[in-house]
Amino acid sequence: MYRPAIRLLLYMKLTVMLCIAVVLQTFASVKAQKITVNAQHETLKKVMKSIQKQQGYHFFFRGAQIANIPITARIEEASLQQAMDMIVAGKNLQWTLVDKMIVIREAEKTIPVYTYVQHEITGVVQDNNGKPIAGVTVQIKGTNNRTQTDASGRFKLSGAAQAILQISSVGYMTQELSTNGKNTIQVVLQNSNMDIGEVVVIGYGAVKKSDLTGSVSSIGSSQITQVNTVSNVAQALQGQAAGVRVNQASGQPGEAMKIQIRGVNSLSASNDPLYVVDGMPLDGLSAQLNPEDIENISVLKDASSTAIYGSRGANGVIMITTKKGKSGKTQIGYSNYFGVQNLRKRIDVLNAQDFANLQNEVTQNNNISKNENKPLPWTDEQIRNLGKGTDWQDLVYRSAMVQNHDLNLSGGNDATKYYTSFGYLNQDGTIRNSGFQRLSFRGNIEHRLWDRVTFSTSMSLQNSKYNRAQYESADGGGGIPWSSMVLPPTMQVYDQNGNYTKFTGVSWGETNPVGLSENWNNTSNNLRIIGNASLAMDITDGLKLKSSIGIDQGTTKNDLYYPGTTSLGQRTDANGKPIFGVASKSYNSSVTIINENVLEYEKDFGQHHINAVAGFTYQKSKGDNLNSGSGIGFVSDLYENNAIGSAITKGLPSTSYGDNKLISYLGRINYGFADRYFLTLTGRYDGSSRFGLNQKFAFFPSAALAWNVHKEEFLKDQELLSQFKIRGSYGKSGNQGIGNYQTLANVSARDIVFDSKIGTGFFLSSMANPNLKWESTKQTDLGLELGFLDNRIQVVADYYNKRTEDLLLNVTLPGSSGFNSVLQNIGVVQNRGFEFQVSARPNIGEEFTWNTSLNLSANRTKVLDIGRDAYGQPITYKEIGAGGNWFPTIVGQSMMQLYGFTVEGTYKTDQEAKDNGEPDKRAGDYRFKNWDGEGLVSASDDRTVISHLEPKFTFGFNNRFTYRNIDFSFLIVGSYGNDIVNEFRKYNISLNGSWNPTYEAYNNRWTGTGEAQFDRPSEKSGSAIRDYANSLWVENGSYLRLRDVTIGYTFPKNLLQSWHLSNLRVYLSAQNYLTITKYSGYDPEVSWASASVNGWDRGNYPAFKSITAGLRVNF
Amino acid sequence: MKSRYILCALLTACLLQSCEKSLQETPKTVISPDEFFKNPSSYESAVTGIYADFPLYVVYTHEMITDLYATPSASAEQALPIYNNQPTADYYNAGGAWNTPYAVIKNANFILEYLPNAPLDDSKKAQLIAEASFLRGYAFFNLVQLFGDVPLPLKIPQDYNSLRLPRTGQAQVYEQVLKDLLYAEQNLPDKAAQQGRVDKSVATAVLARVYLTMAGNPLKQTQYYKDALQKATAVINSGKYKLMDDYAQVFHNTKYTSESIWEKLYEPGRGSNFLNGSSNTSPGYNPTLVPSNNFMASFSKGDRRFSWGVISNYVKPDKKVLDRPFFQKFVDTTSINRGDLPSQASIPYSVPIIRLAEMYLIAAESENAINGPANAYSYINTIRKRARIDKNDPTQVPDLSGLSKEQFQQAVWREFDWELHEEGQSWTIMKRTNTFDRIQKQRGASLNVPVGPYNQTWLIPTTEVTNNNIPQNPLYK
Repeated sequence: MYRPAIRLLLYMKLTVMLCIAVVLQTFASVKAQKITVNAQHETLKKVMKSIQKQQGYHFFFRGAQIANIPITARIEEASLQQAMDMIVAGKNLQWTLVDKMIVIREAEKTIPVYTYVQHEITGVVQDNNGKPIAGVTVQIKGTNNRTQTDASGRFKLSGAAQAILQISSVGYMTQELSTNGKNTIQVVLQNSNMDIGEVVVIGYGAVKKSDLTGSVSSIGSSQITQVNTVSNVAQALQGQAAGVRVNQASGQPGEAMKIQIRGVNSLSASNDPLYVVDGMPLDGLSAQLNPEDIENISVLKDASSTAIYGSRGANGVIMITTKKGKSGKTQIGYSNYFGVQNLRKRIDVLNAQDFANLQNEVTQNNNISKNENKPLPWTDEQIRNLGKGTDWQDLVYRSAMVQNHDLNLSGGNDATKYYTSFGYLNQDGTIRNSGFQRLSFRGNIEHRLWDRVTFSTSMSLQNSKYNRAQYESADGGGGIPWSSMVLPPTMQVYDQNGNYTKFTGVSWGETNPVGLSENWNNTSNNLRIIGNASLAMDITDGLKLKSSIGIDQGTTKNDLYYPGTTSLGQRTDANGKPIFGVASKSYNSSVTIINENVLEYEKDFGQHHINAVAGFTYQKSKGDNLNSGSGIGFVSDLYENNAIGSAITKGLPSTSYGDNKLISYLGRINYGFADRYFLTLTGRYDGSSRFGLNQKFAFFPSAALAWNVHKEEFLKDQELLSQFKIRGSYGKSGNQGIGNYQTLANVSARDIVFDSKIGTGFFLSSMANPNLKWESTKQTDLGLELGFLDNRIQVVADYYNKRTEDLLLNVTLPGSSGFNSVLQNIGVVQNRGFEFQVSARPNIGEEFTWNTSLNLSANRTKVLDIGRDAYGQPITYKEIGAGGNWFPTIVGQSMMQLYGFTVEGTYKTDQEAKDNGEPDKRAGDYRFKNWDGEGLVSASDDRTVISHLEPKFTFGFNNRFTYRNIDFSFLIVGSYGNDIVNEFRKYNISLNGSWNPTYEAYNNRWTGTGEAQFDRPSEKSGSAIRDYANSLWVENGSYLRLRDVTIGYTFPKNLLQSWHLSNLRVYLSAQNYLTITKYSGYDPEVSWASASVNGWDRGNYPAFKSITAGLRVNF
Repeated sequence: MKSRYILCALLTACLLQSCEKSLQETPKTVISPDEFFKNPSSYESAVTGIYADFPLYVVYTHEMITDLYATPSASAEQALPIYNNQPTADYYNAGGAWNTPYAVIKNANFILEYLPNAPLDDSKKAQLIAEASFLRGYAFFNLVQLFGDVPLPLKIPQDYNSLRLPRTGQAQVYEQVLKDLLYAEQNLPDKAAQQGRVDKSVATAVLARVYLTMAGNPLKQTQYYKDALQKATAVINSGKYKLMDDYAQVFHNTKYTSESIWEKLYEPGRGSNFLNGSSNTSPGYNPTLVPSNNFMASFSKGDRRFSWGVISNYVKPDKKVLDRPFFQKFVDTTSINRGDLPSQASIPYSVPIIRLAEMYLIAAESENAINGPANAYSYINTIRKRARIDKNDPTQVPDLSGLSKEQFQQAVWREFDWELHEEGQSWTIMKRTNTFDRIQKQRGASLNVPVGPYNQTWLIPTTEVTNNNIPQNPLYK
């Protein structure tokens, strides 16, 4: 009968005791920081183990045979450098130290070099952002003469005047440079994801890329910051990884992106991936992390890599590793960019003269069909004087500025390393009065307490301000993109009294977009603190314990004010008198506390390598909310929402609260044999508070195999194939993305009015649902990795087949039960797909480098089952979520497709309409396809699936060139074979004289005879295609986009030295400057923010294009 | 060293044991029924909670498809096909008309299950049982009128797997309606604690309507005319209510009038009736209840119900004339004058659910059905007299006299339309009087589907048919 908190406390106490015991033991055995080795024909591996024990350096061997080389050495109190040199002396081995890893490999075959004079060579090594790289091995080719760069990337070597330098470092491509007698050399190393030696971050650990059994995409920091004007992490991934589809659904700065990893699994529950930052799982992450702080992102895709996150892994996992300090001199880096953003595209709608002509035509046609004789609204002279009229788009959109600054300091010594940063982003939106500002701070500190104990903390704090434009809705309600498109150009912005005019063309669409963009205030201020403290201990040889406590706390304040100057802020009081201003304010706070305890055991037994992880994690989240309710009617707009108490009609405050817990046990065994065969077994046993009493816990297992074929004897003697790996995995992961308290019988409060006053009553809102359980996704993955010509060309291909079962689906209940629906585990969705990535770095010349990478992803989602009806028949059609009867889910299709009428042009005659089963319609009206050819065209039997929203494939194509000091890169992204449902076409192709249509519709309208693409201008124009889903809304959504193009210049060293800078790069770049698409709306990546349907354009913030210029400098 | 591992194992074991329980949820914003009923005042608030779904009035279903209204705005989604007699089972009106009354029934069944064991005194308990029973009976009455045979749940379902119920014959449904309403009439207090809640006379008045309905189409249980008459006259003679002098005074109120028996109230400044949006024809609105020419022409000379109730060629302060006439019953013209748009308009006028005038008409119709017109004139003429613009001018809305039983019946049916249009009964009156052919006569040419036997019932929502394994009503075709 413990209370949970006490239990946690008790548990934590025990953990601490355990830790202290271990620490004390470790302390007792602390040795001097110098290395002592006394080996008599010991294997190299054993010797290295002893060094690892003494100094904590990890090591690994390139080539299995190296481990068994016998070593005889007697080393006392030596430094690492001395010790290693002595160990490898005369063994034809070379070693490098990278980060904390000693890499030992066979020395390159000696090429005889004539040595005339010993020549001093100094230089500096930098990455392509101009940052110095420490710990890079610089070696004179063919000799053992080598050194490492210091913290500022500098090195000094002695060698022949005509030497060839080999410059290598993990994570970068090895470069060779001829000294050509020069004394100073500047080297820019290209980031590489291709190096086999690279370590890939996976859940609860890291693994050498060559040993990886799962499907993981790794993205380095230079790719993450490649594109400017990006405020959140998901957006940075666009086009950078196969299997990851990112849609910039909205141009609102700071807005979350749509991201899908390997398709969509879930119909009702969340489809968002899990974000894990420095090992800490977070519930959602959008713009609350400074991309500049990110060192690397791993995207876990297959079940073998996601099963370790069990119930939250089904939608993929995005593992983010932030930058850490390196020992050495303090490094200071500063980068910035400034830019200007503009509407990517304008919608070409009629000017005032053409619109007036249209209105005249509408009246004429109305008169004919209604047998009336109403006068035309415009005379020829009036039309001549109209000019272009009001250009609403011009008035609402602007050129918006963006600026970004990032300052970081890092450094440390052997014991303590730190990385701190400060970032500032200020991005205005292209709609007036909208934008995003972010201040971000980070401090990552790692301290080695004793030989075996490391303590680290990471703390990130971000404060953001998000000014949201009113952009949603394709029906009015003030949506600015919608209203700036359909408002007549003949309408003025202000009336005679100087007030904003109101639009009466449609219900609820009244608000003047200029007024709304100028005066509306919808601001969110968010403070998010993510902190994590962990203690890592080497308990015994190969056994490590890592224990951490993290907190993720967020507070958001939302301010909302509709000023009295806009119609949305004009209401009436209890006596029916007009009052002005609608204000509300809300506070949300959420906190998650996570405790994770993981034991890791790593050991080699001869050819056998074992890495095992076992852990226990506990997570508790709670959130609460306070909302003032809307206060209406203020004496002055100056109050905004700061004096809600003074409202004439008081707001009704409301609060909410929710909490949930997750308890997990996890384990993984990686087994490798002779660097050739790998097996991974993973399991996580997860318990969530959200599920039914009988279904709290579930087990998510997975298994994976990999075979490094190129290491087999039979492939040993060829040079072409440098890598050939086959891997396969199968496993299960889950989804718990549903709300709290869904399995309980609940009584809820509701408003009732008696005596003309609001009161409260209660009702039974749900019944107990004790058997509700996890949604689970089983996934098979087959992968092939090939490397050619020393991995200058690499190919990764994956095929996967996912089957999501027990979907958390809202099952429609018979209305006669009094309930609408209940969440049940029903249904099956399948996602199959193919991912392909090819990267190459052609060897062109010494001064010219080229990195290119193409990725391509094709996913097919198919709904296999959505339950059975009461007759026992499979349900084949179901309305789920916001798409309603427009976007039902249909078995055999991918999710939520537009379901409606097919428009086959217009009727030539009245009789033709009657014959086709549309007696209401006349010549010039839209002809709907009568599918069965009989009876009337009706909603019950003449609707079909009319869209295909899922792309056939999406792709990203990235290229980076450097020539001497100049670099140039471009990134192309695209999507092929998908439709977009353009709901704006409900209005902007209607020729009824109330709304402004596009020239496309106006120029192709029905003019009295024959057939036309668009119907007859009249008051009824468009009414048939407005409320009923139809094929006129469906457009080709394929696109190819030049996402980014950048040209940069790195200043030469000698110049910089006089400025006391170690590096300086300036660049100019453009985002979204070229987009090839047939889509007629604002942007082909658009999607309604609040819908589960990806590709439904119902009024989103239009995309922007931008030009930015910036610099990166290191001191 | 070993002890550490033992410690680890112990730790894990102890955690495993306690986890299962710590994952139990204890929500704080919703509450379990057991917790909820620990507070004795909860029983009453679970009864009042039932009211939130009232009035059970779906504009497209209860009013629009009659001959009183002209073509609805083309921009009102799904209005035109329904108006042209081509509704489908997927349309929102089917869902609304079916699901909302059943939500009421579920909420009533919920509290009715707990009330018998409530820690309340017997009279309070009986009153609350009566109130919940009344609301349930009223909901069943609504359903049986619209859909005919319907499922008859009298208990909350045990779980989500046992909530399918077959359709029950309509005669049996009416029996349940009578049972609930008669119990309510017996046990409800004489006067409701608050305006908006029901009391004894509300039950009596609704019973009058139910009996009259049972006596008419389709049950034609004519024996109930006398019960209808008895209940209607009981209300008229109770002395609790009095007709307002002026028809216009019956509306545009935010509180009960002397004529109100049961009304849906709104809080001024916060709530707005839904009929303003359905009726208002000023720019920016998509009206669905617009007076038809035929209906406008049918009013007698000097009828306040027309002169005040229907406004044609309304001139706004900016001198612009509204295109279409509109019913004023639930519309505030000052809001039109200001140019209020739907998002701004807040019209808190109450919507009558049942009012005294209807009792006179029920009395007139049933008296005539039993005994012929002789004693029925006084009831109908009371209503006609009240409708006069000039009470002293007998040529206005003249008293009826000298009619045959048949003619009187026709006259009283017409009177229902003039008096009660837009009050949620026009369709059910057509059904009771079996006069759907009125629609065919007036706008046969524009109907997509001619009026036929299927018009007797609305379509049951598809979700119900497929998820409850019950047969659909006849399709409109």
